[in-house]
Amino acid sequence: MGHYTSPIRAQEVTGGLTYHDVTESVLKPLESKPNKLWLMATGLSMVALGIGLFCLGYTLWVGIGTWGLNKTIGWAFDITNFVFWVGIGHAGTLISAILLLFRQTWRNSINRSAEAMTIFAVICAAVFPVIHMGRPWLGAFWVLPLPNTRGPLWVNFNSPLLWDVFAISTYFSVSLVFWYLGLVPDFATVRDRAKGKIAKLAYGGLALGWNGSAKTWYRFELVSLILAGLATPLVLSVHTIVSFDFATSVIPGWHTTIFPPYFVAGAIFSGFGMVQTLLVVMRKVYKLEHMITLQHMEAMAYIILLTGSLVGIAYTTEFFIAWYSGNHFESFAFVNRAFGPYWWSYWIMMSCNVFTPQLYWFKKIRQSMLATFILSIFVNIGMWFERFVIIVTSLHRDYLPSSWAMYTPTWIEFGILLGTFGIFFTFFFLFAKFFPVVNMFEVKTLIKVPHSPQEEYAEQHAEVPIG
Amino acid sequence: MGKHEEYWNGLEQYNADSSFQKTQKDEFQEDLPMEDSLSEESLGLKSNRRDFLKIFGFGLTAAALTACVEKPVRKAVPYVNKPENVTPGRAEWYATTASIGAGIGILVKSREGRPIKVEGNRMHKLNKGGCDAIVEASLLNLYDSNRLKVSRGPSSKMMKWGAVDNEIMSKLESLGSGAKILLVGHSDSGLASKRLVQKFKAKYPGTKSITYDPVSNYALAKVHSDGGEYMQVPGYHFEKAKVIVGLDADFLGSWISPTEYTKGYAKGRKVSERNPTMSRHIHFEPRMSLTGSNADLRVPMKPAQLMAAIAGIHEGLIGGAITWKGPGNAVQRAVRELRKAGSGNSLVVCGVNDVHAQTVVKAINEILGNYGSTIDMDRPSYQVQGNDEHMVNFVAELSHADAVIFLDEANPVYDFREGTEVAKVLPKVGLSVAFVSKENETSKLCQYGLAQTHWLEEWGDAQPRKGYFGIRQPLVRPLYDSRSWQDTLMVWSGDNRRFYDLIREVWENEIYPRGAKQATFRSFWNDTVRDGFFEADVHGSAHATEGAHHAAQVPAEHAEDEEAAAAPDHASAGSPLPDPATSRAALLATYNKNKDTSEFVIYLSTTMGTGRYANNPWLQEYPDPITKVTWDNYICVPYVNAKQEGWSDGDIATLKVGGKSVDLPIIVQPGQAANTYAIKVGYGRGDIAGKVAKGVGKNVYPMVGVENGSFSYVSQGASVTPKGENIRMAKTQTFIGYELMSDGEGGDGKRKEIENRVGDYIVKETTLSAYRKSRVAGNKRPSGHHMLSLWNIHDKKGHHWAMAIDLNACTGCGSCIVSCNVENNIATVGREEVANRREMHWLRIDRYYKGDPADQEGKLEMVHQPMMCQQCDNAPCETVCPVLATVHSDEGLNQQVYNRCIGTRYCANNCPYKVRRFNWFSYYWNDDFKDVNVAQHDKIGRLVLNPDVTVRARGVMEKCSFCVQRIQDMKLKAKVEGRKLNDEDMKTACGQSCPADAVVFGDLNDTSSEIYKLYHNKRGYHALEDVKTLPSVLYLTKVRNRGEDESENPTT
Repeated sequence: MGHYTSPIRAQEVTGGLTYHDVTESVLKPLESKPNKLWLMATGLSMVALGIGLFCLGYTLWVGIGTWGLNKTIGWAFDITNFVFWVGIGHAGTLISAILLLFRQTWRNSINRSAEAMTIFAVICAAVFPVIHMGRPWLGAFWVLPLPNTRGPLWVNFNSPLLWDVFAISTYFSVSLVFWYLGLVPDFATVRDRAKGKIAKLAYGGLALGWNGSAKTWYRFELVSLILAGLATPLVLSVHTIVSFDFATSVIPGWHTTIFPPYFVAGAIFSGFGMVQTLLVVMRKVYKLEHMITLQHMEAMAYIILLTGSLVGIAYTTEFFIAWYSGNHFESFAFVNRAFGPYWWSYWIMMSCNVFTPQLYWFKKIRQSMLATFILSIFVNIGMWFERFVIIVTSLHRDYLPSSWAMYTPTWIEFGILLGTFGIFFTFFFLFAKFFPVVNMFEVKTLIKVPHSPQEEYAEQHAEVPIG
Repeated sequence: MGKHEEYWNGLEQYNADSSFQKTQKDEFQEDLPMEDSLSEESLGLKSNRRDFLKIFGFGLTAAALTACVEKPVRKAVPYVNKPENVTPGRAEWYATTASIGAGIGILVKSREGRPIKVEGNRMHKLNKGGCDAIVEASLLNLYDSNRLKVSRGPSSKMMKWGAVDNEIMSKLESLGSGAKILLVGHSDSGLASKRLVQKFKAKYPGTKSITYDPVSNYALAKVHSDGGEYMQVPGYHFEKAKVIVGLDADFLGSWISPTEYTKGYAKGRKVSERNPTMSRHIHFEPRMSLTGSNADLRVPMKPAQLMAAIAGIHEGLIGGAITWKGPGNAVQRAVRELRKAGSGNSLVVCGVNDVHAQTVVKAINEILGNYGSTIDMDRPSYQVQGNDEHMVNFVAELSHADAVIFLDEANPVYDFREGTEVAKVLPKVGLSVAFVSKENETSKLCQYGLAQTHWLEEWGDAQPRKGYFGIRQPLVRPLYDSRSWQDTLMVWSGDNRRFYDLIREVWENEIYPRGAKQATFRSFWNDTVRDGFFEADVHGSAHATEGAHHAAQVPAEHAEDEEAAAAPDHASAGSPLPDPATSRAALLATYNKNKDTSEFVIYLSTTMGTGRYANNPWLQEYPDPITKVTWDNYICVPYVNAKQEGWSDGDIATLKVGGKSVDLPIIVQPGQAANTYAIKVGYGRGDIAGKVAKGVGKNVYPMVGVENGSFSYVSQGASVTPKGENIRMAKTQTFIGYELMSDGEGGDGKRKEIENRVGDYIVKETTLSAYRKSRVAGNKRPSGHHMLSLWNIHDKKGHHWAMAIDLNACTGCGSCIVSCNVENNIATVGREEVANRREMHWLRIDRYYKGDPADQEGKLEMVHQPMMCQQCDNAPCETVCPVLATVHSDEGLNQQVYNRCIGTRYCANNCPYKVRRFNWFSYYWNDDFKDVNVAQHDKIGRLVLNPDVTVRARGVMEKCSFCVQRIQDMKLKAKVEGRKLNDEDMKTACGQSCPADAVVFGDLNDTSSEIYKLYHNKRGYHALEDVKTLPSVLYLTKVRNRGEDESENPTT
């Protein structure tokens, strides 16, 4: 007959869960007392956060000189970390917005954590543009186009850094609103089940008076779609703009037109890497395997495989263009990347971003949670090094050999990096404890109910015949 | 509307009801409510109790809040009597003469009575406006907080001058008239000082004055002195020489009078478009010196080989066979080119302090007919007065002396080879006195450490060349209770006048008669003090009168004191001079003896000099022009040896020679003769020298030897043994040293790639013969289609400031760096931060090697390129700053607005020239930098700051501003004087100090300006032109004079 029938997608919620089961299993950690594991993990994150705060305070007190930067290399860990965290944030928006628009229902069980991850990652990212400034106490508001009485002083709309300010703040606010909006119906569920006075009050407040009426649901769906529509371009624009920080400059290795798509692919790649890392652990610890199934993990592995290969192509293209352009500085910069003093960072990047994700071609690997966990960590490492390679190796040998220098990070910089992981995980663990980690109401839409609520009701009231 | 109109509309109208009438009247016409609001009632202040309380409450709170902020109390004290010529906010310039640095003429900028900048005096014939870095930097020593604030007597007793005079004079008198008093000092060419010493000797006939220089040129002086009052070395005219042969004479960097020589040398090296000629410079030396790096042909030779080369040139010129022809027949070639230059057209200079070498070189120059043309004996130089023979038996003499007086910071314990012996003997001397501005190694051991004035606080004079007289006038009253050694010696000689009066007397009697145009001495004196310079006649009877006067004034000296007669103060005595043939044989014998042993060379550096000013962070952070190392001395190891042994930069090694040893880090040097090691003097001053110099480097003066009655800076049988440690050297430029050239990183192919990058985009060069054929030789500029731009070019209707740097003239000495530091209040950051590559210099000199670093045949070359903000018209920094902290002025300047800067450092990242400097820390008032940034920390040190330039805060970016404050100053000056700005006015700090006149600054919109002409020179190009930043700094290609042999070019 010739026409193609797509195979029926495997069931997205397994184990024959009922609505009630979903609610129970998602809200179990929220409603029970914190266990030791959680306390330990959160405590550890807070220690990391504390170290970060100390290093940050030291930097603010003494100066950027506490970092390993120099006259030639003006950015290194700071902007690397910034781009790294912004990149991680991308998966959340992609999942919540683009996959929603495309009706990819498998997103339903992972979107909550992915969005939370986005918010926290963007918070981590937002730290760096502020603290990397020499005078953050002024810069933090001078970069905003605020009307002022200082005569003609105004921001420079030519500067990609200013575009960053707009891009990141827009991205953050849209993501936050979107995430919170999605939480409202679930907060209402928590509210309704809450026993304690405080919990009732708190979740009641968070639920914004959700009443579950058809009208409410209708408006909710509408706003979700509108926000998804708004957020979709952001997925592409934010990292495009971040890439402009480099692409619009004149430094060989930065001045590259391929950067926007390459950065976006890389961002999605790293974002999914991080989602995988988190979910592999969470589904296990919270016993959510029936909602976040192997199929979900595999779907993410496909995306990582795709975007990893895309960045691989981008890396190769850069080299090709460097050679093809015949530009001395350009070709030197790229050869230096791979074979210069920082060759090891380049090859870490290549291995983790291009080579190891290829293992996802194998079903066995995709379905092994241990392998997935390791590979997803590799993706994170690789993407961090990608930014390091772009920033440091391009700067350390630019035009005039007289200024060539080397960069060695100080423990303060490591401390701040650790601190952002502290921020991230502290927030994430708090989220995991106090918020429903899986979008319950969306997961419930996926359950192929053997018996509908009406049937259930009918069963319980047997005298009413079923039609 | 009155009553009973013909028609009425209603009863109200008919009845003329008053309310109706009112509405009727206003029906269509309503007044704007202006009157109400403008009424007196509402405009007037009419506040009720409530309002009053509100305003009162607000006022009280606001006042309380503002009072919470602690406002620093700043007192502005007005002049009670305004000094003449001092206008607050306006700088005054005075001419003077430095007591150091070969006696060059100086202009000092003074603001509200404090000197803040030292520049060259353009009216002085010696340096013609150039200034060397050490003199410029010595300004900071005036404000050195470690200075002796009051004189110190025995057992650390603080003493007033009256007490000092009484005690010492009574001691001197108690010693009796025949007492042996040693006056130990450095070269001082001043006539009045000389007369003063004679005066002192007249009172104390047993006095012997000993003059020595830590790094001596005695041998040169010995072969040229005529037994006159002064020892003399030739005056050199480098500008007249067509062929210059340098024999280990670092005449552009550190040898005798580098500023003067650079002026001449650069003049001879500049190539004009009309008449493209330039001198040819051949240089033989053991280690790469600044001078060698500028040579057209530079062949590394170990000291023994150098001796053979000197002999060889002589052999060649007298037509004999050349014993040692040198690598690639270099000696033969030098002979050929010297001959070809023709009589009187060449110049051979030799820096080896050996009588044989200097005798032969003198003979060579005589054969070449250079005396009278390029070598001026009519106006010989008096800059070298140090007599090594005085010092040979100094320790013995000191142990027999009754008293010793160290003048002008003479510091033999530190800078004399037998310093440790001196230190042992010195405490036993009956009376020991040292004139020091701060305690040093010698004064510490003396009974009296007398607070001497800085040269900016005292009167004095100088005669660097015969008949070139300079006056030193005080710019500021002594900051402390200090007095010049001259004033003190006046007192001790029993003369109640000040030294100033003696100077006037000497000048009136001995100098004024020699060709002064002024009618009276008074006007002559005033004019000379204003100009700082007087050129006296040298012909005729001048010399005779001088000699006669001398004889007349001190007749007793020779008669009364046999010892003084046997060894007078100058060079005429001592061992007799050998003849050239004997000397040549001696040189060859030395060669044969030492040719196979490893040798060790001690040298004087451009940056630190003899070490007298080691406590000066500007000098410590002034990178060595060749090694680019700051804050250290080190063992220069030849690249060939280092590679063989696997040594690298920063390896701590022990250098052993002649039973002495020193531990220092290694610096691997391309172009250094194999088996030769070198260390510079001036370091290792120890704690006594002050907080800056403390712990920097090691002292190598003890390793100086004595040969043929003069100090020898070469010794044999040196060994270097690494200790297995490695330290980070504080270098301002690390790559394109030998690192990249070695196989470790990319090997030879990589080296070529970098050489091509430098040659194609950064430093363009050509050869003289190519330039003769085509004026654009070596200067391929990018074609038009490469140069499209998205941006509109900035409009510059008024001025368009621009700079041009002639790479053919620039020698790379780096005097501009110090000048820039002083002018622009640039922070010094110390060893650790330089090692972190965070030096703050706005201006740097990039140096690039070309050729094989292992070379021993003269195929390694070097270029120097001053690099500062290029003030791009398409500035990459300007577009990326998010807050517009760096913006373009309508005069073509790229301005950095410190107040607005938030320190993203994006501008620095995006700068292709990497000239922007970030304030990583707060460098001022920061105790972390108190030992290195004294100019921005000490209460006293801060006095040196230029009040026209902001001291930058932590977290902001800074960079070269083209000395915008000087531009502004000149604009205002021209405006006040009601004239147009002229070209002469405009000098940036770097351009002003440049002894080579390599830096030209001016207004491109002024078609008559020098800069406008240079911008139309076909040699002009911009660095990294392809990036299309449109810089406002133009470089002129370097032209190498390959002489007879084009194949010399290492790249062909």
